[in-house]
Amino acid sequence: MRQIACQSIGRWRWKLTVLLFTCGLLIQYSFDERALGHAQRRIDFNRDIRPILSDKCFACHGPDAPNKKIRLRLDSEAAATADLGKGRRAIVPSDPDRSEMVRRIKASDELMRMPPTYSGHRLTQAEIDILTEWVKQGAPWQKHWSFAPLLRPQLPSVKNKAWPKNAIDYFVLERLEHEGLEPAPEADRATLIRRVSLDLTGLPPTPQEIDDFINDRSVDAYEHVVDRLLNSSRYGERMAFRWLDAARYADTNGYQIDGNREAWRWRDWVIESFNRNQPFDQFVIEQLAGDLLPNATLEQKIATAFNRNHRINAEGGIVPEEYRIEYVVDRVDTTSTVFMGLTMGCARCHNHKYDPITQKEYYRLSAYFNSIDEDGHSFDQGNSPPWIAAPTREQQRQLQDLDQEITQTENHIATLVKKSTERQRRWEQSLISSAGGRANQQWFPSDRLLVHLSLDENREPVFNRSDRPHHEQADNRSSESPQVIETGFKEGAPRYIAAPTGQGVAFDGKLFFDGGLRADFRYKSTSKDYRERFTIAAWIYPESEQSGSIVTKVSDSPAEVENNVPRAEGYGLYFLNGKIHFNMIFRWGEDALRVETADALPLRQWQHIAVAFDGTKAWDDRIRLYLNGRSQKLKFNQRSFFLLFSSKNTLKIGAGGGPEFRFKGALDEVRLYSRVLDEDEIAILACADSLEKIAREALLNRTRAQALKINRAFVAQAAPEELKRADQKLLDLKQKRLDFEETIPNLMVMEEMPEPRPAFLLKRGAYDAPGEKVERGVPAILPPIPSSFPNNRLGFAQWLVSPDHPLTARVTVNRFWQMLFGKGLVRTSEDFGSQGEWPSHPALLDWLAVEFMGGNAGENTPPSTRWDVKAVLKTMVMSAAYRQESKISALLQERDPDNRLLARGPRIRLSAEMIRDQALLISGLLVEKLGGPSVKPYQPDGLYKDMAFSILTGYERDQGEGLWRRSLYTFWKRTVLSPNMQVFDASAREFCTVRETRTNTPLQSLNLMNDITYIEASRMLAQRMLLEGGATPQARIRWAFRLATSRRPKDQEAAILQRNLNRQLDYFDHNPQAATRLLLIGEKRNDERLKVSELAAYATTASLILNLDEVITKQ
Amino acid sequence: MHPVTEHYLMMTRRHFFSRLSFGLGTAALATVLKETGDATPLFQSSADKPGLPELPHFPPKAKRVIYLYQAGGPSQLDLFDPKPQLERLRGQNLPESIRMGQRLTGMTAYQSSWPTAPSIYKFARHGQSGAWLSELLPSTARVVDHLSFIKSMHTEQINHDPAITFSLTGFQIAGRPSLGSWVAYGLGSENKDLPAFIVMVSVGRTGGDQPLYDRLWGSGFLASRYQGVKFHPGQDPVLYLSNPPGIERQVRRQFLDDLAELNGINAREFGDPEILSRVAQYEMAYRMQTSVPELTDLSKEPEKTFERYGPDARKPGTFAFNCILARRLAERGVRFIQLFHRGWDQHGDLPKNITKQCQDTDQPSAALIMDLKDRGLLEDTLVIWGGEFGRTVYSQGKLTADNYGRDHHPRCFTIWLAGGGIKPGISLGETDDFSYNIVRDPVHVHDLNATIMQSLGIDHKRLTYKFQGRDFRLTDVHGNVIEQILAT
Repeated sequence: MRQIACQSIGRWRWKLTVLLFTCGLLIQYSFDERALGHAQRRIDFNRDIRPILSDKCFACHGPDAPNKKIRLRLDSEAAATADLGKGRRAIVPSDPDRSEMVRRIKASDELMRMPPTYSGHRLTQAEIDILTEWVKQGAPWQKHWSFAPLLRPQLPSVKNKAWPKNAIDYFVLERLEHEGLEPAPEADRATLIRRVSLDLTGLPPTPQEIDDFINDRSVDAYEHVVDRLLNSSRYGERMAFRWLDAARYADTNGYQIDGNREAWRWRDWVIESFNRNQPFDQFVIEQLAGDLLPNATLEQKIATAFNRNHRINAEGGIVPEEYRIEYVVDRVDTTSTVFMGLTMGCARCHNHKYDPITQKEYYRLSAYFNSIDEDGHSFDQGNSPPWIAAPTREQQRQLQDLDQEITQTENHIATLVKKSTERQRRWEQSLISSAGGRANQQWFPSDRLLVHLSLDENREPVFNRSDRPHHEQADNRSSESPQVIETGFKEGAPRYIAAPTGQGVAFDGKLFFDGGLRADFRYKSTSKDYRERFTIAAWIYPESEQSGSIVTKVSDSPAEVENNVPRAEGYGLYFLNGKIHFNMIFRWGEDALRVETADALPLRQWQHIAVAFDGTKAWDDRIRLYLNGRSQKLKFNQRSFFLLFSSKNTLKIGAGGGPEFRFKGALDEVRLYSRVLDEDEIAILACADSLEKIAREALLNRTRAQALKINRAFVAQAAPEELKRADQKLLDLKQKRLDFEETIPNLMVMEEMPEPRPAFLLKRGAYDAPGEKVERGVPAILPPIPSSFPNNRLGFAQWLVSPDHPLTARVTVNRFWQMLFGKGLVRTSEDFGSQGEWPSHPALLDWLAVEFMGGNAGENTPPSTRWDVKAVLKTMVMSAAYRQESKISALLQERDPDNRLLARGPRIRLSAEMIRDQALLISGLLVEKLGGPSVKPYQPDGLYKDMAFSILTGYERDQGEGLWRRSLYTFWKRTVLSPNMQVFDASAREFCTVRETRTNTPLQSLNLMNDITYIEASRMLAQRMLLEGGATPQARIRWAFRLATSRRPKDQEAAILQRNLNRQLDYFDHNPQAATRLLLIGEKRNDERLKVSELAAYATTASLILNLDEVITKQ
Repeated sequence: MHPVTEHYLMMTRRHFFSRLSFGLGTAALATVLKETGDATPLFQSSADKPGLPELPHFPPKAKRVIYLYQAGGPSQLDLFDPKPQLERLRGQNLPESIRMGQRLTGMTAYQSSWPTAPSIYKFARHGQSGAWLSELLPSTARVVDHLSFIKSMHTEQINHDPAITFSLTGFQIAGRPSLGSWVAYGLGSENKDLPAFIVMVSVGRTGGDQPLYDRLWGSGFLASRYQGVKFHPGQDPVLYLSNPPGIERQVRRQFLDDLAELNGINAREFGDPEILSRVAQYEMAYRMQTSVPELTDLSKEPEKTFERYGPDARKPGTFAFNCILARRLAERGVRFIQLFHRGWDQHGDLPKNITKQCQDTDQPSAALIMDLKDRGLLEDTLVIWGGEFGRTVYSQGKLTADNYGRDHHPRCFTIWLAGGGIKPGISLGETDDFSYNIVRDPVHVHDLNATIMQSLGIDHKRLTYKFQGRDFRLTDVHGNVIEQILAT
């Protein structure tokens, strides 16, 4: 761990306008100043003047003035002092009497007075006075403080040299001394270790840890504790929780349907990143643009899910572009808020009213986030492209092993094939010589062959197995009453004719084959996120350009027709307009995948066609159409497919979409596989030659398909056992790999399109009102992107963390400060703009920011010290300011109720997740395990029932350890948040949240008293009291109290608890059934050896302890 | 209110508590908190005030609101807005002169035609006001003279999530406070034992696929204490309300006394007013443990009540049951009572489904009006009945003689209002022959929200909250009070 030096280098360059305000006015500048007393202060433009101008004037006379046709602007010095005509100027420095602004704000005539009444704003007398005084003093201007370059301020001098422990304390103490206040004494060790343990790990210390600290008399005892905590893996979990709020991470997609998504791999990346103390600049770059880094690793791609965590909309009927724009907007707003503290969203519809950001600049910024190949319409369930398979490290290892085994087996097969050349030759000879009995013998792949119609006169159709169970499991919509459907030819009898592989059947435009409720291939399901794979193949002999339906799963009743194609719901392979069409339709135009071959096919001849669908692939690779074994160029008619279609239609050969689409021509060898066949296999299907015929060909004359076919046939039929076994093994391994792939977590990531999508200014922010085209760029108020950076997301990310960026470091250290002290140095941690709050300690903020960045540009600091998160947190918690006790004196309650001056330590209610995690920890229930899929702990029954989408109303509560993991891993449903998180102000994560809020309501009390979570925790804590807490009730009470508060109870407290316990013992002794019922709450069972009534009594007292204000507070 | 003002109020309150804690023994503390009226309205506000001091802006006409939200978009064409002349055009494509290229949802945008689907229901005029209603609403027909209809409502959103979010928060994207939370923030509660904003949800006979979301009664950037408290059907109307099995009420009482005493010790040492605030919240929780079950227990309601509200009224979780609860909440001074009834999204099989929806809602809605009236509560209770948008005149999917569906239609829909501040017997606004466009007196969702605020004595332009540097309000920069329907 890096030690932070107290000495500061660099010069004092935080140029506050040093103007003493001596005329005796008691000025009330800003809220802080008001609350903090009335000491005389220097006028400082940024602190004292800009907030007034911004709040009361900028709405009209600010950056958006030109759009409102208002000439006067007060957001720049030049504009404010310019000649407005006839020599009138708003501000004439040093001359208030000639300044129009001063005259107008003082005007007694209501029609003249600014701001106008209709604006709803009024200047107070104090504000008028200070504006006047400021003009009198020359109206000195400053750049808005947060946009000013970051320079390391010098440490201020303080009188009390003994108090500061590090640089932070000089800044804090200077302010306190200025205000005439004393810092508070250091908190006692028990309080301190509890505070710092909760702050750095989210969990309280154990009694052993407390004792170790108390007994450690070395000078760096506290530092040891801090280092231990920062090195604990709990640290990453603690840090991740707040980051998930900022990054609006959740386990559901939000909006109307709010189906589940898979995103936890990114959450685990965040935990890991904090735990390995990844430099923050890298943390930023990888999350914003990891995919664009040279040779991006899997982990770097995973990081980019940061900007895919936003909500996505699956509501039927939406205009996808409207929501695609919302996603881009969300990325811009989140990125601006989290890294720059800018409320960019204001500039979406018009120029920003307060900050120097134009609408055009907004869209230039959005152009960085605009170029991924996404659709505004998402799936009901699961992720939406672009996505990647994001195996865990363990899965990556297993995959490697599998691949290695596959390669070995392939090599083994190659060797065996070579060894059996002679045997194959003999086998081929036998095919020729015994041709009489085995004429026209064929071989085709049969693995996962679902349906096979040979269409030969004497051969029955083959239905290998039903795929229904798979889908029924996936989709409870299809559990309608099963229909009994007779399979077979309908509307006529088959007429068999000669065909490529023997016989085929002539279809006369009436006849069709009904395959029953089979081959229920769909793409997605509403309730389960699976990705379909299948193949359909057939020989066709089209009579005309409109020969019709080949294989479909659509209704046979007439459908609407467009461009000669039926708009029927379901999937269908057709020969229409001379081309092969393959359509998967839920709702034509809105929700369907429709492709056709780019080229027309010849008529009245046999040709082999196949379609392979692979739902795991990117949009354009999802479908392949083959003609005679060769992949065809496709024309996409529609590729926006989200929902499943009805499963009630039967599989039809030669029909579907209405009588006019009955097939006219002939068909042969119809095959449906529940897997994707590769090109070699398709080539074999398209090779009609019998094995005998191929065998007669000289080796060198055989086509590729012929060679493949006869070789595969040999292995399957006549190879030595060893080769057969190896071949089977290879098949099994490949299947195993596919099955394994299905278990790999999927993750939505950023993936840049080859060509950037053009970006436009959107008038009024509306998706359908594009204005001028804009190029990528950053707001002019900020330093430009260096020309050495690429002008894309990567360059943008690098720019954010470049040494002369004024915001990223300031905003970030402010959030860390907020995490420890409850409020940021800038309390509006989401807004560093001119409407944001002036920092309570501006120089401290800058010092921390510079320290965090590892020095100013030009300062020669070692790279290892740059953007070191653990180091900056350590500096904060090592400070004397942090270590103060948090008692509030009457004086401070009066002077500084919000603790902005830091004359005492932080006293803050714990956040939702900490309250629950702490109860789990001290009751011994907590299952500590890093990462993994989200878990579903206790929540009230039926919570989703009257709220959620009709088929998403279930909540499958975890059994076992999922009930007791840290709340970081709790399944986060955006539209119906877990109530024990919600009541304690947790974010629903519908949007980015960086400010922490804390309320105090009776719902919290009810939750802590009556939630299964806490009753179970009380029971288990009671058990620990009895088993571990000592021999007497008094000892056990003291032990549990200390476990929960980290301190020993006062005698008075112990006495109250003892009294409480005695009453409970008495009560449950007389009410044994009550005791039994209480102990049955929750899944975890108590030790059977313990006496039920005693346990119940202890549980009630334990619950009392868990409900103490002190227990749910860091003090 | 400006955060500074809010802060000052909090300080004052805190001073009260700190004096209390230092001046009194902790044993007396709980008693004091119980007896001090001042300590009780903490539910909606730990700033410890019943509402903002500057509110109401002017004398209110309504003290509370009951919003009977019909989620999914009820068909104005089949309920409120008769277009008998459409029968002649049955099946004909909707004229382009009517549609005027307006956007449609993806569910019907790609239909090959948009066949005009006249309602199959008979309409008649009712009451002295002569309001038109379809035969689907016989009970509503009997109370029409108390109601005021707006037939020219319109919104901007064509899909449920954005439209319902827009209607209830003034913005289509999540993040803004809901109507009820603005009211709770502004006016606070009149009941010290119940939350200021209560929400109930019912799913009707047809089920219902349009989900609801916490955000519809969420508090957005306002403190979360202003969010609506959702009542759940069943054992615990408020989550975690009941003590666990085995913990009797007197055990809980002792528990709370001991807890208050222990917290008091810490409060004395640390001087943090939040601790005493927490003690008060536990007391409020304890009171809710009685007040809420008492509220939801209908066993003492006379038989007459159930006859009035209809056969569903005894069944918890139904709209009828919730309507009775709404009246009981109104009696207890709860400020904002919002019912949601799901299932109005009739894209297909509209006749079958709308009949069932009306069975769910018609009688209870009308009963609630009369019940409030009889108890003298209608005068100062504003009741609103309506959803997030209307439905299209053209059929979604196949049109047959007795079956059709309708897609979402934001360009016009009908709602009704009654009670506090509303002039009864009015019918405002008019749509064209297709109930597609508004031809007279358009009323935007923002206007409705402005009017609801107005009835409560709130100037919608002046109830603002500063967030991210901006003064936000429910109606954004829009909204005009609908003067025509306001009682003078």
